[in-house]
Amino acid sequence: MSSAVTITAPSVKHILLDSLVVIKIVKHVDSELHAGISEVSGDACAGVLTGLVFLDDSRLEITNCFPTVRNEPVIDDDANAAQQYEEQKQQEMLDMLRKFRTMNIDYEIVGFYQSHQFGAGFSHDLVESMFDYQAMGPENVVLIYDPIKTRQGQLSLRAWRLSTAALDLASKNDWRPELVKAAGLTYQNMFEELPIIIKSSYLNNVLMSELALSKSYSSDKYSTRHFDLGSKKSLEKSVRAMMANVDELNKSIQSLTKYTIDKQRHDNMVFSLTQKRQQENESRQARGDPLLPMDDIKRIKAPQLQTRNGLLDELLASFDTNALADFSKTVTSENITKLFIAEAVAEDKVMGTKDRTLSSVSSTR
Amino acid sequence: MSRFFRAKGDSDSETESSEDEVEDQKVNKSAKFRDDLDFMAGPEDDVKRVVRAQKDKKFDELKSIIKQNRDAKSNKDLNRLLNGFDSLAKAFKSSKNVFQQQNVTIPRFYIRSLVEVEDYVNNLWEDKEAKAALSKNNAKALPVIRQRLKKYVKDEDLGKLIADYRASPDEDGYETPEDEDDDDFEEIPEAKTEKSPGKQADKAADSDSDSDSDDGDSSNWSSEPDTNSSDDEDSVTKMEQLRRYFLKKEFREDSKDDKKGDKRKRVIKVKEVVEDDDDDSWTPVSREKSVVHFDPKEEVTHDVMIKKLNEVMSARGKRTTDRNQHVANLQKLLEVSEEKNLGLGINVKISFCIISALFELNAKISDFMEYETFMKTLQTVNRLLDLLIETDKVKLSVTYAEEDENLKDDTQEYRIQGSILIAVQRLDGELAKILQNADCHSNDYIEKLKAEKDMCQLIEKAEGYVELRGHLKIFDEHEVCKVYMMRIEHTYYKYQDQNEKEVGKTMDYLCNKIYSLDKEKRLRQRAMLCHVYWLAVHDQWHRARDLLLMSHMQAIVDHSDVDTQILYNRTICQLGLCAFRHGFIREAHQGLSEIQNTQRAKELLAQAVGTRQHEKTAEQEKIDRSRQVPYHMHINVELMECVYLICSMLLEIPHMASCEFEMRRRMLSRSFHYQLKQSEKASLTGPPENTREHVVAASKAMLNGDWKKCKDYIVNDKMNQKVWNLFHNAETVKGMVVRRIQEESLRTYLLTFSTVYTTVNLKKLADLFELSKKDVHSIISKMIIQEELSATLDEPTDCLIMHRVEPSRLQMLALNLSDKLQTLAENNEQILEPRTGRGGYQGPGSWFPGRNERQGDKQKGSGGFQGERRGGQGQDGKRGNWGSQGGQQRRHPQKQRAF
Repeated sequence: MSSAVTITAPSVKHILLDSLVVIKIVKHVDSELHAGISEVSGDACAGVLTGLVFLDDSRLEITNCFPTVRNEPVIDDDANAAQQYEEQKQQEMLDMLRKFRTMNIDYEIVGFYQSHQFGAGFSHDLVESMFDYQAMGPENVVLIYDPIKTRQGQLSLRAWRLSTAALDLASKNDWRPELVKAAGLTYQNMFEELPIIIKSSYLNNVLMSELALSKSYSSDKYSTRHFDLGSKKSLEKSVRAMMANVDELNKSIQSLTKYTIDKQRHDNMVFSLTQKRQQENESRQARGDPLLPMDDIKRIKAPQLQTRNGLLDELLASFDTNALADFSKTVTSENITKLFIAEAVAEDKVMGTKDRTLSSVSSTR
Repeated sequence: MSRFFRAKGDSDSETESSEDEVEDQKVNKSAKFRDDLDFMAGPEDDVKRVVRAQKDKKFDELKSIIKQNRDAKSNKDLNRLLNGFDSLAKAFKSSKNVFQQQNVTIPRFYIRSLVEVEDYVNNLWEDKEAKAALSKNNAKALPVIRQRLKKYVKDEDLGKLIADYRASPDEDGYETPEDEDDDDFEEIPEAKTEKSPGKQADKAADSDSDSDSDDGDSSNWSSEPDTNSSDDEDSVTKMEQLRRYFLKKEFREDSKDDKKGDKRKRVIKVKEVVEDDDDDSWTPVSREKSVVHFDPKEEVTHDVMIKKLNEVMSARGKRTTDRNQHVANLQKLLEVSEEKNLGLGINVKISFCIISALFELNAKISDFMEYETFMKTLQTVNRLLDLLIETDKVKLSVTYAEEDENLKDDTQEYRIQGSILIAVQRLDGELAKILQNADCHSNDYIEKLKAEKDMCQLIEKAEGYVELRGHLKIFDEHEVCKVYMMRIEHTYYKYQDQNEKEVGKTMDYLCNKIYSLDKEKRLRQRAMLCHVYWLAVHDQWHRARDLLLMSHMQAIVDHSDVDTQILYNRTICQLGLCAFRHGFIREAHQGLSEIQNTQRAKELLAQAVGTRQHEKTAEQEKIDRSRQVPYHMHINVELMECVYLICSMLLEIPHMASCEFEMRRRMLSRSFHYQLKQSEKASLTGPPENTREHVVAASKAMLNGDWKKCKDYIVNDKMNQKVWNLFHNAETVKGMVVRRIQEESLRTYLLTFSTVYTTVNLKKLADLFELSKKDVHSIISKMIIQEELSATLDEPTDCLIMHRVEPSRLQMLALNLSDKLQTLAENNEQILEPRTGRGGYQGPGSWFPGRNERQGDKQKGSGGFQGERRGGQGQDGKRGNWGSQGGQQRRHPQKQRAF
């Protein structure tokens, strides 16, 4: 990452997503999730998005995508092999793009997609690759797909990009608290979300509206499924993930506290020393002696924040926690609503079973 | 350069470089020293001998320089040659005086070397090619050396000699034959042996009247080693010569001895004839480098003896005094005094002097005594003590001033300054040192340990003596206490099976003596700790615990000295082991965790010097070493660790089972958890090898509620050998442990699997754990009362009915999350309002890690024997001081607090 990269503000305001892309992503992630590959290899499913930018109406059209090769577990930690592998991966991607071109499909890379549970997988690596992409083309975005929510019946795709301020910091790869503060960066404005419009074919649209109109297909037999409280497991998972994040946050906050204190002390010291030196210099000037240099004071080392990436980790952890909390909130509120409905329904049917429902309430929370 | 050179030419060499000055001074000094000697001893042959040595020294000095020059020449290193030449000139100049004094001509080898150098330089100068090939430095040095050489030859009027030499040069590579020197030496002994009788006579004549001359005399005798040491820096060749020199001398002495023997015979004859005039018999003694001889004309009376003794004693502690000789002298005096029947007073006095002289054989306090010397001293002390016990006429006390001493008047009682008790004490210390320095795994150690028995007897005797003469008020109270203390210290760690009662009584008696006598607290504390230790070793748990608690030792131990702290640590450990033998698991755990949790148990028990030597000066290390407990007093650390781990297992496993879901577990024993974690980390768990692994494996079995497996891990042949057989009541202890394993396994089982059951039959549980139903009932009841288990006992059906109140996993997680969020919020607030006083004083206990934990234990547990512990927090840090890790230990908790 060189600081020579010029950062141009993105002009795209919303994203037009082809339904083909949606289907392809869902298919890719779901099949991998089924096979449990992602759990084995330990990293997210990812792929490259292609499409084109419409600068006129500030819209990004994503028309196609393809998955990238999964990282093979490097058995012998041979750096050479890893590098070779990386080259191979690159080659494959280029091949794919070439084929797209020959098939007259949009072959301009406009971003990449990754799958993360609960949509919360913002890691240092992700930020780095986002920066890479966005440095390549300012309109590039990342699509984060949440397989869990999709499984529960709600398609979850969100488009993100780094905000200009974050991009600026990332280009320097310097996340010192002062700089972050100066940039006014918080976990909320670090990433920008773009609205997605899924574009289906007209035929499809027609089919959908017909289905919506005809009573026979909005069937009764699926209605009970909406009362399913099967989100318990995923809720557990999200709470666990949240705990990990909170731990992380705690740690970074601790170091931040320490840093602030040290910094304060350091500043005070430097200040008092400079003042003393200045006074001395003034008196020296009066006497006509040569002035003492300030170099040694400047040379006193300022304290360092004891984390690797400055405040970046903290920001990411906050962001993730936020995403997880959002998920939990929606799931729980949905569940509560369902329970109330179920209770009402049950009361209607059998009067005496109230106890059991109550107990189930307590168990799902 | 030239200035320097001129200075050389001057007769006084004050302006020479400092190095040179030093050399000169040394020479002067030694010369002066010799002059003094001459003045003292008179005889002319001594001078000769001394100067000879000096000449040789000078020769060697010169030769070594010449040799260096030759090397330099062969290496074409002109710079070095130049330097070598300078130093040669210097050395020669300083030797010149000696040579002149002694009428030695300028040595031929010196001239030869000069010629060689000159030739070499001139050749080089002529040879243009070779000159061109020289390095820059060397090229610079060449003209300098050439010039200097010329000037030197001119200045020193050596031209003629050189010309002479050139006329008849030695063949190439010729060196002065070594035997030249040897011949010289050959002469000396002859001269000396010839002269010695006269000298002897001289000395005999004036030695009595003039103690000063004796001094000079002794130094004269030791002058040989002295010269030795003064020219240590000289080359090896010199050493070699010295060696030869001494070899010769030995031979010489032999011959002298022969002569002496002759003379002695003669003397004995004389003695037979003249009964009272036996002073002559002391002449041979004096020949053996001794000053102990009396004037033949004078009768040996008290006064003479005392004078003599003072004379001998005045040599004590001087550097020139040969210590062994000093002892021998004193022994001679003792013999004489016994022979002459000079009375007990003198005898005791001299014996006492001998003892102190024996102690002083070692120059350094930290060095340990030779074992033989020790035994000799022991015998001497023993004899003296016997003597003192036999007769009450002699009073040996520190309270007497030297003027008050009564050595001769046998109508009154003898009063002598000194203390036999201190001698005994010192002897005890020496024994400890000897044992510390012996290899504890060798037979040698056992040999040396035998002396311990003698020592005990001696101490007992000393104690008897104290009690016998106690009423005479000749002992310092402190001394007396020390004697009792010594006895205690030799008893407290020994386990006695047979006459335990008797020893116990002695122990009580001794300790009580000290409690009543000791004015300052230190000995009292120590005695008390020893007492507790002894009680603990002998399984008197309650008495031991009560005694320790009454003493409030825990509160004051951090203010006491290091040795007491070590003793305290030992006591605590022993008490812990005792508690374990009695089945008081919690108490045992508490006692042992003090030491075991620190990771440096051995260090704290002074059974090993810390491995981490950082920032430890050599001095500190030496002190640490001197504090080490001798091997035979060691507490078996492995056993202790094993016991500790077993205790931890019995306490911790049910605890772990009960709070399985709690994220932030309270740990009872950190090191136990560490061990558990280590074994979890291991990718492959084989069958356990050492005791530690056995306990860990047992713990895992227990966690699953499998008490039989657990038992098998704890009680088996391997463990029998390593652990259980080390207890004197192994079977009962084993039975106790198995029983506890059954109980705790039952508890663990119930806690772990309560979710699986709705009801459990008590009989089934009893069968499963091979406990009686009554026991099962009581255990379960206790658990229910302590709210560890939510269940009810159903009497009619003999069932345990479980209650389902456990929160679901999600609820647990949510609770934990809220906990975490709370800390996060707190931390966040801290950012806004940083606590500036972080490093400041925050009350006495705030930095101590175990405090809260321990307090928790106290509330929960059965007020263990450390319940009263108030000064606990200060202690760890303080005690750490002597391992120099106190700081670290203290730092650690702060870190902990931070997260």
